[in-house]
Amino acid sequence: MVEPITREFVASIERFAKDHQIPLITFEKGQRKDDFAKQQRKKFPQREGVVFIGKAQEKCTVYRTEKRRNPKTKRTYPWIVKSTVLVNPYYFYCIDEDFGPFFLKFCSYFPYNAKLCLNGHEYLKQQLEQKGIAYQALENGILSCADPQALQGLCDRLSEGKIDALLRKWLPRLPHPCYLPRSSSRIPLSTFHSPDRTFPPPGIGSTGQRTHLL
Amino acid sequence: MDRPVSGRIFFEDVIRENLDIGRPQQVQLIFDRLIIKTTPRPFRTPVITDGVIPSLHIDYKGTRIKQYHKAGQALRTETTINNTYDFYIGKNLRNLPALRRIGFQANRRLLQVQRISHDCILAEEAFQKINRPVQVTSQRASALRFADPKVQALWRALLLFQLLPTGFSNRHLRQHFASLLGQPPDSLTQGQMTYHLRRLRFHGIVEPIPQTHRYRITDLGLRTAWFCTRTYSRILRPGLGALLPELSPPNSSLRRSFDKLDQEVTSWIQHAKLAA
Repeated sequence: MVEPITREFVASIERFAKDHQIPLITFEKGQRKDDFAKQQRKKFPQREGVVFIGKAQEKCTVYRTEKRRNPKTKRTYPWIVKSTVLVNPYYFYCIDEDFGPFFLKFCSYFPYNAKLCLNGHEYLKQQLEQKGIAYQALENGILSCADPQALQGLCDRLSEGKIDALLRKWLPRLPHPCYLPRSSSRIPLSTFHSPDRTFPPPGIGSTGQRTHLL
Repeated sequence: MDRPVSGRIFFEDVIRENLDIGRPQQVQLIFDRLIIKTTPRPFRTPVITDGVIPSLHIDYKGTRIKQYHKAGQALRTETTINNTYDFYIGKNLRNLPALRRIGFQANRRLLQVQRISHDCILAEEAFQKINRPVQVTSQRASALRFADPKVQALWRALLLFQLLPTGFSNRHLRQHFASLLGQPPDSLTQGQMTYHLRRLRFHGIVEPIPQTHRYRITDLGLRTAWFCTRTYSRILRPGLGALLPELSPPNSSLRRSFDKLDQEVTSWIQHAKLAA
């Protein structure tokens, strides 16, 4: 029952890559995906789109069937169990106009888990560029900004609704085996970072750099 | 924090004085969660140094707070919640505000708990200022280098005058200064002593008494002289003497400790070679 869905899903990814001329690469063992994605993003000319699709091999939690035997009747029956197997997840590395770079990862085996990974700092950089506010970027942060209050406002306004909208915007564009729930209440969170910045207390060091944000 | 070195020194002192931050009592304050017998352990405060930049880590179940000196500019506190169920919150996207609140509150509480007992940046500045040449208007005076025997003799000589209400003159200082250098007072000229007095004056260690040819030691000068002489004669010199094999008695505890350290490092290297 599951195998035809899996086969169709993998074929649809390959078709998608071919139709849209998107590179489909296989990650090597030990290769840092982020570093590779960074290189690929530099070559990507568009403001929005799928940069490349990456195929990896990872251990995932899946539900699979196993054969069990009834001790009384001695007859066998199938049973669904939760276990870990090596599967091929597919990473869609994309760039969004509002959120900047992010990726969507689909597991190619039942229950076809999907993971959306985005960086709040990249979202801020995109928003600052759209609003024309000057800033100095770090790799994962913002060093200084011409309008710190506007920046704080942008941070505060990054909500679950916007993340939900991002997912709903991109899922129809990409091949995927799952159906999106009607509301964001069923989309699970996995990891959350809350970076904060600290400045020295008054009297220590120069106050000229206090507007710097990281 | 606008200078990377000052920022690193500040952060190193923050770490040094808050190494107990990963203990259960502190962790439960930071995360506002009660630590019970079944709460996953260990509770510790790992300090990981990447090059010369240290970072402080605090763990609570699958959640980690990392604090480090970001890009030589500021102290960054970063909380990562890897499992929302650590805080009895479901994984629904609508729980993002609650999760965000927990993360930011943990950051705030950590910063409230962390304390530093002294202004290490100003202390570092003051130390460096004395150890470097100083320029007042267009005049320049040489540095008062900590390990220079003449400077140490100057500090000691100055301390002899601390209780004199009328201060001291060039001649008074010369007598004591020469004795401390092991020379007869006549061997030092008035001009040489004027040179040293000028250095001390430009560094703010002594100040002239108006309408006299006498000087008095300033508050900064007194504290600096006291600190530099005590540190040099009671910590550095005896410490180094007890440490070096050719200088120290074999029963010195400091030497024994360093010998033990040396042995351990050597045996570890030998072990690594055998393993390779």
